[in-house]
Amino acid sequence: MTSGSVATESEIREGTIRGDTDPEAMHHLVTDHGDAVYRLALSIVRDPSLAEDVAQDSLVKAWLALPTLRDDTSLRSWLLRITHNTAISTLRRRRAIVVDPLEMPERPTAPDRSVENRVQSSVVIGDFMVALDTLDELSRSIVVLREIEGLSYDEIAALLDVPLPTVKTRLLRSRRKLGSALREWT
Amino acid sequence: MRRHPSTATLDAWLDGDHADPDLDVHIGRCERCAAELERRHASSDHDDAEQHLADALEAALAVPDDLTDRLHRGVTDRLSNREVAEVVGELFGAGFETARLLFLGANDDPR
Repeated sequence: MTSGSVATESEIREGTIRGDTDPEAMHHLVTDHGDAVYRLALSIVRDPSLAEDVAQDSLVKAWLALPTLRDDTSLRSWLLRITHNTAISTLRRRRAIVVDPLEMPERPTAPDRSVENRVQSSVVIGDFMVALDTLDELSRSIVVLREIEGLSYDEIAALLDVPLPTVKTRLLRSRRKLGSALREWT
Repeated sequence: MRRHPSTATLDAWLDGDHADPDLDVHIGRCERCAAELERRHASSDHDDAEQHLADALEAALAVPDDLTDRLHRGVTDRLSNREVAEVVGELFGAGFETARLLFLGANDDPR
């Protein structure tokens, strides 16, 4: 975490302690952590609109519970833990409902790269997403928390409440599987 | 505790070719097997493409341009709705308490 975000984290904590209507502290919470919350939610639920719903739900839960957050707890890790738990319970509720495949949302496309690479990239990212879908939710969360959020193995183990060897071994296997889907990326 | 799996089994597990829930549980808790898997992975000629994993993940989990605005609106709306629900709940509670006092009196225990 950067020193800038530490200052902001302090502002967020103070803002919610003053009262739950401080719009600036709320703005910091969403601006600083919204992307990470959404990405983790999307990696678990695999549906952009549902991920956004989970992200909003998680941010509201975090905002309301912020005054109880201990000083020695990382705001980001705590928020991602709330997001993970919210996404998993949302997914469990959803799995009880039969979904018509024709009503499933389309997969997001890769962000714009150079024009000449665009077609090739979309093919590669399609293969990558298929590989990502074959991982279980826990493995997807571990990969995202490590590769995108840059959390340590210990932080991930604490956040997901799993043993350290689970983090290490799931990450190794996921990297191997996803790496093989990325051969065309290079 | 289950016996440690053979190196061939560990390799198969690493490649995703060995589906065994008991093995998953063992590997997920065993420091020795985790260390062996790390060693085997490091010494194998695994794909260089793994270096691009973070880029690929960011692309696959792309964040919409206006996500921050939408999240902010959504969170604000949910909190406002929650406040309204609390006020309505309090009003109903006050109404119920008033009716109870009118009909039963302040000293009557409704139970």
